[in-house]
Amino acid sequence: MKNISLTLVLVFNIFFSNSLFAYDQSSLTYIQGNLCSQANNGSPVPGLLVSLVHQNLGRSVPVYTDNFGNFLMSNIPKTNVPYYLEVYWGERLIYRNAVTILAPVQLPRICI
Amino acid sequence: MTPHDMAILFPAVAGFCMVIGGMLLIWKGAIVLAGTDSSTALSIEWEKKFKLNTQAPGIAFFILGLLFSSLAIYSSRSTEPIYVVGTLDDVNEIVTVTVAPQQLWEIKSGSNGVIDGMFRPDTETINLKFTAACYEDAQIPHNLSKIKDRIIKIDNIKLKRKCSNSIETRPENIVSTTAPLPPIGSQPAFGAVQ
Repeated sequence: MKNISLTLVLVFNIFFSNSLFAYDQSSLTYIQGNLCSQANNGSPVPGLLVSLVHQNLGRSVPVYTDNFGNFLMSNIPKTNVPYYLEVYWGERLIYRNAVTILAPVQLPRICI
Repeated sequence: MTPHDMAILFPAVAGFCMVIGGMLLIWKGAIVLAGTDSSTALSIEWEKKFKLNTQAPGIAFFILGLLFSSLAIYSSRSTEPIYVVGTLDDVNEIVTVTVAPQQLWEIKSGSNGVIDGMFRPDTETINLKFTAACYEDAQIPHNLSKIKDRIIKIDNIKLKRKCSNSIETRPENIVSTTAPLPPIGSQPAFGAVQ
């Protein structure tokens, strides 16, 4: 009986600590950047789909670049394991690079 | 539990109780399914639109129970979808239509950091945002109470092209991954909707 109780407490703690991690605001941050096009003389590109993908955490909510090529992704979990920043032209992948997010990230301008 | 959930649950429980109660009363002999004479017939009428007349009162319990249960099932049905149809002129790229409430609700704290406010989530007016690579986005509001047959028709929307050349996929722009990654269409696991 004691073993069962201990197991239940352990399972509860693991579940609850994961839940806390999922909603701990201090473990979340943001990343922002600006995308431009080499084929268009460095002009900003609106409407590009930007997504972060992580081998353990999965994929982020996608965002689109605005009319000035800017994008902002918030509520991104901080982690030592790098993310991949992916950019899509419609459904076609045009850019992917690794980025480590441990604090707010302001990427340098990316001209694809 | 929200008032909407309660409005669904109560008729369902009432209907269930009436059916079970009717069966118990029949078992106890308090009511009978057999026909009675017309002087003891049960008659229920509502604004001349609904009329129930039976000489077997036991049946009325089941019918009323069924009505309550049906009402609960009808009320609990999922929201019917809204269709967006139409064409966009002069667009050569895949267009994403993002639907969101037009209004943002703000609640401000006091200077002491205490938050105590409320908002009414009115989603009658929605915003359709059209996004395509290399095009300026366009936003069009729609009032849901004014659409017909739950169809939003899109016509005469023009997106302004911002660049002349599309960006080609070049291998040097795409680093290889050490492990397989979830596809672009997979369910988002983190991040906030902008």
